[in-house]
Amino acid sequence: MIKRLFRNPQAILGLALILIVLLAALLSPLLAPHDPNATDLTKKYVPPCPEYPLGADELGRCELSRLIYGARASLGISVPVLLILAVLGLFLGALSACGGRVLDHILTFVCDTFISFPQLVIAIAIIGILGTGVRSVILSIVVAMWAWFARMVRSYATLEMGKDYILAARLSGCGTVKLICLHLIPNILPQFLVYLSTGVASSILMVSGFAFLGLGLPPETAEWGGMLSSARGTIYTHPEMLVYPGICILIAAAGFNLFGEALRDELEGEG
Amino acid sequence: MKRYILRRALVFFLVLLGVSILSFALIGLFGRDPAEIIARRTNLHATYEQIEAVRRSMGLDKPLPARYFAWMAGLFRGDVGVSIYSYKPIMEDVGRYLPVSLSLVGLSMAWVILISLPISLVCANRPGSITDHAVRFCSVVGLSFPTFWLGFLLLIAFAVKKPIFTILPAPGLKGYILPSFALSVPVFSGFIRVFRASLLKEMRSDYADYARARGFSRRRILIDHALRNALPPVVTMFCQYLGYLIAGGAVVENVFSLNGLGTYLVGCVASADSTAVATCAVIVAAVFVAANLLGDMANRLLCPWTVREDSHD
Amino acid sequence: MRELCANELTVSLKREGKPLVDKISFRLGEGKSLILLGESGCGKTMTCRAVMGLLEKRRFHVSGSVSLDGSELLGLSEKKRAGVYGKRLAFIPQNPMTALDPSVSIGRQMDETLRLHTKLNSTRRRARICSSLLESGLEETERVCRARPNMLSGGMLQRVLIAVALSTGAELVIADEPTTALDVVLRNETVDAFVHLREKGAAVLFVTHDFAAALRLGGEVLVMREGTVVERGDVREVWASPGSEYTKALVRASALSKGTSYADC
Repeated sequence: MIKRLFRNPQAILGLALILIVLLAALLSPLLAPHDPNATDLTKKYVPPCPEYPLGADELGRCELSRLIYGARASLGISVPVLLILAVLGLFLGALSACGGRVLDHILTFVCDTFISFPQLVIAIAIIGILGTGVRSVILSIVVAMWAWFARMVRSYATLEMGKDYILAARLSGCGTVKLICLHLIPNILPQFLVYLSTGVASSILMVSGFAFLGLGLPPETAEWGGMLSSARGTIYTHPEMLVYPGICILIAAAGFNLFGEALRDELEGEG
Repeated sequence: MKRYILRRALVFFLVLLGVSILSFALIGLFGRDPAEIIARRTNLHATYEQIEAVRRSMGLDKPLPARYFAWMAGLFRGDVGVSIYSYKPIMEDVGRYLPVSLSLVGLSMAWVILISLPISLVCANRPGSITDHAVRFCSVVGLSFPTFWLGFLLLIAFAVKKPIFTILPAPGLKGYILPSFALSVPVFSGFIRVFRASLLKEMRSDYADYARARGFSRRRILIDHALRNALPPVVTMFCQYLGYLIAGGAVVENVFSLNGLGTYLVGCVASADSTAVATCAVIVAAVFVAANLLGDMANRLLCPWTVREDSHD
Repeated sequence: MRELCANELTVSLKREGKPLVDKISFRLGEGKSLILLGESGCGKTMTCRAVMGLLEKRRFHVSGSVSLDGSELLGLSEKKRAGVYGKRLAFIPQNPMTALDPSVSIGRQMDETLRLHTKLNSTRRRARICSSLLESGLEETERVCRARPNMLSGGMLQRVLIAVALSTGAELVIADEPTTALDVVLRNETVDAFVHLREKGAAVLFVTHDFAAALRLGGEVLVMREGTVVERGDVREVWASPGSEYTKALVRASALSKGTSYADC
């Protein structure tokens, strides 16, 4: 199946975009021409030139460098978030499906409550306590998204648990934990990967959305959403400042979404 | 059917209860001190005594559970007090902002239906064609669009470069057109994917096969039969989005300077106003859960043969 | 019709080369029955679906020719399909439970079929539907017409499918394993329904793996294996004295499991 995936043009494009963003995040110091936070008021709004390839922003900071470092913020938050969500989701979802009816009802109720809860409120509240910073943003997104993951794992787990091979394994004496680890998780994994990939995309969008509203990272950080927020005032004079960060968000989110959806298509036998 | 409605209504109220408790807990226990926020609004160097005075006057010195029950009682009376954020009665604020959000979401969903229905049908009619592949690609990209950025692009294109619309919202429907469209793009992208997949699944079914054997054309089968049977997952999705967008529209409201519930919520949380947040959260959750319930019921009515007796969800 | 003629019909997957149906030829005249007999995977269903034009163009490559009274059936356009399939040629699919749209009543589905293929007005259509349901053995025509497919049993749905074939007055009926999803008693009744169709003058192309059903129907049999015909002849003669080794094995297996001989079928 992995071979088929690599012949899928959408998957390849997605992976390519992911790679670009990943490299930008990992190699920012090497790729960026300037320090993203170095202000120089004499260079305010300089148009694109060899020294500042995409020009400079309202504080004279190099736009390109800020964009490149922005990848660090987005991925640096989204990847840990998804790892936490993966573990939480698998654990809670499997628990819900295998741990007996009462536990299942309780967990489902809690999930439903969180899912119905406006995500924005969660984010603002958490950032309100812990203040701005990477940790609060990570926590907000995890709290906002965990219920979707748990629910998804639960529904797959319930489906799988009903299958005959599980019954066969149980009859031959396989304990529940062993069942989960040896059978359930490997079978859920492909679909789970789809959710992970699209989850990163959602997380990237959420991070930039929060930053745009001023919640999350300190306002001076090179982060795409924050950059969009700062560029608002210049919509008439320098509209391109609004375009660049958005394109970056789009590329990053699209990369993960393209890959995730291509993976989903392959799994569901599309094409 | 009756037992089902009863069961769902129970879950509905339990969830609302859960949401309200969560709001109070989240803001009350972990938010900043509302008394301090109010005091510092008038006097940046408010003293401890002044803050305490504010606390007493706003009834914020009572323990959290007591405030929670007072709020609930107020909810039934129709008066939950005054907002710390706006100094106006919360219900009045809600009455002013909720319709804005509802209109925004309503118009967005209208866009979604108008756009995704024909496109999904065209794709399902010619699976594997160039149009199909192009649409599939574009829909994934559409899902990845940050709505606020899209909002700005629309503003730049249609309010700055070609002033068809204004930056600040025009009164009436016109002011909602751009923001609702921006909000709808990721939604209809997701919709097209799900709808198309559902339609194709129906077209691969045995009854579609037999209909072909009886001489019906693909297009006829698609519209007369597959369409109706493909609706359930789409209806579910529609209802989920309805609830999600009411609060999630805050970002779009911000870009287009609309005063909706989302923006109000942001302000209330920032002011640590537990009662206002709880009220809004409960309303949003109520819309969400009601929409889900509606969707579920609609699916049961549309496709009664898919109803299974045990299913929990 | 006078004759359905297949000439070197070949079906293969576009991806791999080996043909699933390899140069099959046969002739079927009016009032006669032709049985495609064999185990699963022998290509009989593929042959049947190729004749019906139900194979996806993207996945399958169909060559050779299948003609009805001289006019080619393979590769017909959508418009021309409506003139043949459902009208002159009726199909009885394998699983009656899933063959009809679950959200629409039986009556409406039969009605839309008639509206496509005949120019009768609604009263006449109603009458035609009721008479074909009765002829097919379903007495409570009102109830059946109002019912949705999930409200009827497998046997009843099977009769509905046969009624559809009757209602359009099809000259050729193609049945894909019509007895497989049913129990033994219903099996005999179903085969009898096809005998009845044949006696009314229709030609019957019957696909099955069940020798007993084939014997009950009677007619010419094509024993198929891995896409080719290993033996052909009158079904009773082939049963009594099978020529090829494969047919012998089929006969043995069938007789053993039924514990009967031809005379009992």
